[in-house]
Amino acid sequence: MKVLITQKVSDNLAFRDSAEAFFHEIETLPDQSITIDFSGVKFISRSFAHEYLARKKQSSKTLKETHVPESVRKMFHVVLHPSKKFELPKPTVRRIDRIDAVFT
Amino acid sequence: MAGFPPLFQSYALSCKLQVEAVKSGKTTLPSSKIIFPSTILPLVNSGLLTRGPGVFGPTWIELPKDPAQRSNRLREYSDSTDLSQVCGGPDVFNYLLNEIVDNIYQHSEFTRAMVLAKRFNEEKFTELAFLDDGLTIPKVLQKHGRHLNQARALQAAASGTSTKGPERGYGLSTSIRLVREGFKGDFLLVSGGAALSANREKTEEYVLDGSLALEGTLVALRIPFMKKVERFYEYIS
Repeated sequence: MKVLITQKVSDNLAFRDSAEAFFHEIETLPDQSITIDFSGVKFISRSFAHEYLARKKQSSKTLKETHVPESVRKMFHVVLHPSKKFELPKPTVRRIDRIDAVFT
Repeated sequence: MAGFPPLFQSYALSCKLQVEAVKSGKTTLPSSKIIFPSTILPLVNSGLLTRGPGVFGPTWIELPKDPAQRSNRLREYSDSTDLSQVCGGPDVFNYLLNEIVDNIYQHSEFTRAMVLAKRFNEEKFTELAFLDDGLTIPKVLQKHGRHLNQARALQAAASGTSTKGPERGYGLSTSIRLVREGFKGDFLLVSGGAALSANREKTEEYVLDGSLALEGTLVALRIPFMKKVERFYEYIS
């Protein structure tokens, strides 16, 4: 069975809970083996990609992807091979007790 | 003492205008100054500014509570502002827009949330601002058993600490890295009684008293015009 993800979600795969909802629907389908067609996807966020891959790992179905745009492949790769989280340099701390101090 | 970054001053201006409005009974915007999104959205949230077509150029959008509407609303806004060509291209612009908005839906439990993006051609940068009136970052962390002082809470969130587990928290931290290193721009986070400002030169935290504190969260980005961000996927990995 083939499922077009742009039809079920959007061509803009932005939000984490959209991926969650998508998989709720996938799990209700009668077929055990499902192909997720990524034709027409214009954008995928890191959050959506992370949720998609996490849910895919837990799914009871056998899932594969087809027509995956390069931007989606790259985002999947980023999620599957995360770097150490970026840390800002240690900040200087300043207390501001009156607004006018900000403009002097 | 060194001055404050312009992006933080822009937020502080909104606080100053609110104080003056309370005293005088009316909102008066400085006529000689450019008004930035990081000034506008807190004024809108406080009720001192209402939608005025054409007054500030592109108007802000209110994020819908109904999740089913938000993708289309954001995409319409993204298309209408046509900012991606100066904000690193569509993938980069949409990354910043959607990751920060996703955080609002995931964590804030907002009643009202807004986004405003505006380009400043003479200054050659774009400013994006996101504001919600929901749980502040310190309160979200406290709710999940992490009791940090307000400034530490912001730093933790900016460095990828998430209440949802160690595999989460990349959205905000990668956005900061993308702004700071990819664009060499400025990032500001204000939540409750603290603020965090980051650019390539310095990183500062501010403990905010009284009228500078925010009941909600503001994320503001000021990014120089750039057609493409080299190493985009490296910055977000």
